[in-house]
Amino acid sequence: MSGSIRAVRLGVLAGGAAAGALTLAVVRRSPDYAIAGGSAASTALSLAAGWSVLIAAVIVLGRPARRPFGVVAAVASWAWFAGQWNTPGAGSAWVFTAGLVLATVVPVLVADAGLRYLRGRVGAPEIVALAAGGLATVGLAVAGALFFDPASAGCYGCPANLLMIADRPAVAEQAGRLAVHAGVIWPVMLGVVLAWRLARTSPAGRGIAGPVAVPVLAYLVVVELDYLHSWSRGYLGADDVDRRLLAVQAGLLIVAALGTGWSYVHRRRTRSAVARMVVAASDVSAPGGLEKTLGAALGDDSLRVFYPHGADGWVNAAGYPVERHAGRGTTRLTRDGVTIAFLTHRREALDEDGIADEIAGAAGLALTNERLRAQRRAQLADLRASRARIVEAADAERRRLERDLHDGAQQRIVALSLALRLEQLRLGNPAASGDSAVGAAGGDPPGAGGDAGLARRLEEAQAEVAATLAGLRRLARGLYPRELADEGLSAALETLAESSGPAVTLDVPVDGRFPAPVEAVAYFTVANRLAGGGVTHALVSVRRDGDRLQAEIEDDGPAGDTTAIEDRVGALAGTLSVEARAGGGTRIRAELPCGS
Amino acid sequence: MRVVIADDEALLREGLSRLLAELGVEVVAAVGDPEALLRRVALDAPDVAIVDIKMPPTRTDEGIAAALTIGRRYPAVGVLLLSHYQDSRYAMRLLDERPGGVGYLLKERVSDVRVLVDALDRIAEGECVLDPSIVSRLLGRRRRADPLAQLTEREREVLALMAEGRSNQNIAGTLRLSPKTVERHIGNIFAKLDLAESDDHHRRVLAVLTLLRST
Repeated sequence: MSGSIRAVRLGVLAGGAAAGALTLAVVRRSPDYAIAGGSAASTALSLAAGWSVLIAAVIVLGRPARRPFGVVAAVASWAWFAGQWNTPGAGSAWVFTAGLVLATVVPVLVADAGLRYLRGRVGAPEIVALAAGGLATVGLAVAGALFFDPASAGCYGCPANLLMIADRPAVAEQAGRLAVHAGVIWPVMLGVVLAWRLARTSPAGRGIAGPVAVPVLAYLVVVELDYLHSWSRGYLGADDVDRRLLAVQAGLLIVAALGTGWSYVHRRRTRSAVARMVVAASDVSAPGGLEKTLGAALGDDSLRVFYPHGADGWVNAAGYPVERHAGRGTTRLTRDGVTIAFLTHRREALDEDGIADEIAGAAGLALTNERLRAQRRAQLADLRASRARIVEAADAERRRLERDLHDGAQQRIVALSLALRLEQLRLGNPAASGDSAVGAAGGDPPGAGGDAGLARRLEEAQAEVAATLAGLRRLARGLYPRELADEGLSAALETLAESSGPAVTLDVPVDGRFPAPVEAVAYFTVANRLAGGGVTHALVSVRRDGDRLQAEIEDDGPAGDTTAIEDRVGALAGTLSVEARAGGGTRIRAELPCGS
Repeated sequence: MRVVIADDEALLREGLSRLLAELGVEVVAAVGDPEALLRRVALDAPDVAIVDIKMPPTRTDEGIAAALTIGRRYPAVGVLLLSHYQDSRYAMRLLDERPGGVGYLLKERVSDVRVLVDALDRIAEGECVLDPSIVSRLLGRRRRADPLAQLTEREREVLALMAEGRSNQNIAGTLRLSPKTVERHIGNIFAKLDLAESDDHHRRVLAVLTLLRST
């Protein structure tokens, strides 16, 4: 890609150099006919203008964003040279004819190049004005050339006109007159369109494109003046006024060509401004500080800095994932091939080629620093989310197991217990039929046909089943208490306090539900404490504090191992403090963000 | 005694039906969901409906809703709720809305034939019956303003047995006291809990409710 661009640039340069050399030769062969006047100074100025535009075009062709300008400017420079070939000095009919056709087209091409340098959309106004200019110059020149015989017009030294189909001097003259009259109109159209586009460009864009667009505008004004001067005469002549105006045109083209260099100066200035501010600003170490600094340096307070994270994500300086903004300018900053940041900004604020590299160069270290911090924060957040998911998944699994125990094993064992009891009844076991005299029970006389050994074994089995059921119930409760799922934290804590070994005083005035993971962590923090050894009395208090839940357990037990609680609390990004109370005992406080 | 059983576990339905039949209790229907239960209650007019707390569709506390519906539509039909959960909150919800002719027993308690038959009798007579394990937990609660704090140890024991739905005679037997002493204790409990003299059954229910509600 870059190789082919290099070839194009070389070709443009070589073609321009050849055209320029040819022009010099033509002028030297017949200086009297030279439209610029033929003097050394005027020839030098004219050639300098063509070369300036040519060199600017070749340089700009190396910048992808402005390549269209480069192409049109290159053609304009060739046309500038070729427009001076319609003299006896042309030597060749081909060269002479090209000169005839291209003699007046340069202002149209220069205006086109100026519009492209502004990089606006090429809409209907541009197309109309450019088409008008093209028709009035090339179109009428060709039309005139069809009926123009240089010899019969008095130029006996001129080469032949290859386009001529009939010698009709009157028609040719009329075409020339028409071209001059049209030439009063189209420069105005092009000038207005260019001025309008320039006014519509953002201040940042104007600052960069102005040094090119303003000289082009002035050039169009001078072209207009020359056509006005030629109005009554009916052709573009070479009197003193024409020559002076042409000299001014050449000068303005040189200025416009130099104006393309302004963007390089602008880049340097931006770079040093960014560098100065990054060095000077002390608050770039705070998250987002760099954003303000860059925004100020680039004159765009809407500028935002984002950093790549994960496969395709962005995070801000604080490490939070962000959505990409559609409809805003986005610039990627790279350093040594690594993407260090993305800037979003007003469109055109950073459009200039290479400006991203300047920023990356000047602020690269600070950006890399902030990127690493942002990515570390984002990784921490990811890790925390992953921990929370693991704990939530574990809790969900505990709930499922709890239900499975109730619906499966417990039901079956109860059924087994009933079946056992039925067998005992049929054996006539007095323990089974009850010792009260109520109801319809107690029918069979005690011991009727009873096998004492079997009855005893059945009774033992019954006791075993009862113990199994009690154990299952404790297991299920420990997994995930029903109240926690159905009714919430305070209900679950009440039931826990009722059934726990230590004497528990509850101070839980919280109403309403919290997110399930938060309730589960608070509950299991308390349950874990009460189940731990050495606690005989405990005071449990739960408070809502803004968007945080505070759970505190004061008890008379030793601190013991709090790893399990720490892990649960940490998974929800909460904080846990464990302190020894004066006179023995422990105070544990968990603070949990409720994420609401 | 005629009962309807509602439990979505066929195994338990079968086991309980056979056990009750063995005990001479007539099981007029055994169904698996709340709608069928209400239909059978309307058709068969049983003395007591034995209802599992977990039934379709959500299998959480449909049984309580069914018990309360039965209480509203058929006040003469008692309800014995069976639960796997040793849960005073469920019991409280039930008794709060229907303070008579209901019971709440742990599921495995039904294999304790004496308790089961006693509970069915009490419920049929309009009293309320609580599982002993829940009663003991309620009594074990630590509270700030505890109306039960004024009761003596013995009176607490008596109240606990009342909550289980025991008769005076049964309480006397269990605690090895004379029936007269039991009656005196009950009178003291009523007085300390500020229960005015009225229908004796009603006061028994209120005393148990005090136990449930004291928080």
